[in-house]
Amino acid sequence: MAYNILVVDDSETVRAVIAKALAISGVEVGTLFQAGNGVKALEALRREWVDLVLADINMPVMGGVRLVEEMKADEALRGTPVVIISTEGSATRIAELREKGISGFLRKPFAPEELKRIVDSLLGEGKPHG
Amino acid sequence: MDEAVAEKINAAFCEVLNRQVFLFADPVPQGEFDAGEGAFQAATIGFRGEVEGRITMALPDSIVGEIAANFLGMDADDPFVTAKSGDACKELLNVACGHILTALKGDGPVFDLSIPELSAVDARRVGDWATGAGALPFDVDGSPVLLRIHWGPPDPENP
Repeated sequence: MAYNILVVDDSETVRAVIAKALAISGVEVGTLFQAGNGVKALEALRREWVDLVLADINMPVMGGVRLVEEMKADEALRGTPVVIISTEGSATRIAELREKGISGFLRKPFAPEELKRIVDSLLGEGKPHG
Repeated sequence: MDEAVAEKINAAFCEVLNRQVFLFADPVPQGEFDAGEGAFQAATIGFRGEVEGRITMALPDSIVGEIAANFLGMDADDPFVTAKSGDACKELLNVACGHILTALKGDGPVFDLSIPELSAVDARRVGDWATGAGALPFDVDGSPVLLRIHWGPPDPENP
């Protein structure tokens, strides 16, 4: 099954790296949407069907934390899983992000297999049943 | 710089360089660093939290293309790589900064990082930086690369 994935990062380079990692990992991607900040991501989420959001924290205009807050406040979007991909190494910050409702966290640099493991755990074979 | 601090920074930077762009970095004694004569790209990022400061990474132009190509997993002569080489340098520093802060302060403190900036500098200036207190020189696959750590708020007299 192919999934529609939204990659949110202010760096076009990082978005390209994540797109490449998804391709290498074997994750079946239907449409790969991209956004340069949280505001653009919300516009895309309200316009398109998205199965999973992969977002950075540190972005201009609207960062990843605020994006998660906005999504959780929106009934139509709160069920869409968000994985934060960041250089962040603070367990305190990651715990805060989990409390806000993120579904996963991936620290840069990451291997394509790590990305696939997270995607599978949320959407694919590894997804908990019930 | 305190030797233990320098060792932690060196280890974190070398690991990120190896894992992110598949290059091997070796620390160079400060007095032995030779910036050569070419042009450099200097990426700078600020951090604020338990401690405040900024990190500058100076890379010779001759290695920037290879870093961007490895970062993106594309050929060095691909037009996208050429167009995004500066962006790749900034992102590499962003990743390195996160790992350096974790190496120095552990995974407890929360740091806010600034959006990285990039500027062109000449080798003589990089050579001057290399003699300063916060300088950590490296040999990256034969190329001179310099990290420069400044602790404290930005100093307009010494950008």
